[in-house]
Amino acid sequence: MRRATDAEAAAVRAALDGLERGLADILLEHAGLGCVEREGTRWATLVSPDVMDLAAGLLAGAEAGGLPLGTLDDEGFHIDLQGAVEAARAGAVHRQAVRVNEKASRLFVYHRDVLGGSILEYDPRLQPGDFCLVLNPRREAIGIGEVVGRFKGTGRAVRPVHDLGAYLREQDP
Amino acid sequence: MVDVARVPAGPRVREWARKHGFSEWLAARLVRLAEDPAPFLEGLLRRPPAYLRVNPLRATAEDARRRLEARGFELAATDLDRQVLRVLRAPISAGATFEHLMGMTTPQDLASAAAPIALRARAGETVADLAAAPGVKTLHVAGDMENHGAVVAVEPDPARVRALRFNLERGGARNVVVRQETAQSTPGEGWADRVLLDAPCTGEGTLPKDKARRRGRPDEIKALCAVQSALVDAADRVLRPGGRLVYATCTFAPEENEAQVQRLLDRGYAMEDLPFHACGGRPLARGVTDWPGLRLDAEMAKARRFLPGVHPTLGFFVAGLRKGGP
Repeated sequence: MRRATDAEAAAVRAALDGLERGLADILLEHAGLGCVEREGTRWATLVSPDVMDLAAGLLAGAEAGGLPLGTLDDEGFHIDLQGAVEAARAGAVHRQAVRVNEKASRLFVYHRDVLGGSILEYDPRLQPGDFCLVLNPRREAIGIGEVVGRFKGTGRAVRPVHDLGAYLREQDP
Repeated sequence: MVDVARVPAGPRVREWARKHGFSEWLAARLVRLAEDPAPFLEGLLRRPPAYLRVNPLRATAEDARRRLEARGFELAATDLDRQVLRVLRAPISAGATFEHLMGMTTPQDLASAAAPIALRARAGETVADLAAAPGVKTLHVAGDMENHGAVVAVEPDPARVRALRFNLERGGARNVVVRQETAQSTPGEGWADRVLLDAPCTGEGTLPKDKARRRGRPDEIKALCAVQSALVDAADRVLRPGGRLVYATCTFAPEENEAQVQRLLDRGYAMEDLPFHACGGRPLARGVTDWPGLRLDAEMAKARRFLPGVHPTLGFFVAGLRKGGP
């Protein structure tokens, strides 16, 4: 684990602010940005500044550190599950998001598709192939999905990419 | 090397052991651990109430309670930890709720909360959690620190590290570093203000929910004592002089509990008073000071034991110590 480089921090900030203006400042007000590489993936993490003051020997080789907001690659930052959760907790998710009803929320965390008629609210700019944050009726993030159809009717509208239920499924497959 | 005490079993103990499928040597040891063995032995035969702990990094106890009660749960406050709620009625498993997935709640026995409570970690400190998986207590500590300071969570087993990582992510912990290694391999010395050592153990405290443990064997205790001694040595190495160490297990065996704590007292550590003395309205049992084959300081009485049947929990041992020095 190490402190995020300036370029990595800029990529994270740009992506968060692209989701909602000012979101990066909200999330980073009391935390720094760390970077953890695990199994070939580079994770950007929200981290207490005190963690980065630990002795280098304790940070080197760490399996995890801080709260993983998303992944970094040559194309930039890609928000992941806890990034979505934190953004929603900050009350700052309106773009690139769909809000679904209670029944669809329960099904989504079992990795089930969202049907068009279950969507209460959506960003009209979303197009098939776009990734979106999926919110429950209380505007809490329950995962990330991919738009696969229209936001009405009985057809599939959003395919789950990563949902909160994964924490249980992957521990107890 | 600690010798595992074998104490004689009287006819009533032998009969009780036979009736309930316990090994006689284990039953004979257990009856020595409670002032009034009857409720304790009875408590070993039935599951205690279920509990869940509310993670303050994700929700207040009031919010979580309101949300779960809206789903049909009936919950009650507890006297040990205001974040722990007793589950009186659960329409579904507390581990399958949306609130659990959101990291707001985690099923946890009430007694388990005693170890982080005893640690009293504060924002800005550096804490070592040397047997951290699955991370319920680590998250409790991170919450007590309000996500400030640093927690170094150590766990050698890859599958358990995964569970640890998931639980910390769900819970929104920002101040935890996870290291996959044995505590003996954790680098450095004297860097931790506090150490939590919830040591691997024979798990006798889970007898009320795990019948397989009724046939426990002395060699299992002996093997775990070796593991615990190595962990105690690692804890002593990373703790700064004057720092606090909390040693806990979910077993009853004094060889795994007081004998390990005694090793620290022999190095100049001092026992600390714990910030709790009762659970479920009943005083907690004191640490054992008299056990065959062990030399134990009178100070050991400052440790506390949770006894099923006497307290509404599984079995648990916790001791708080201060390392000598400035």
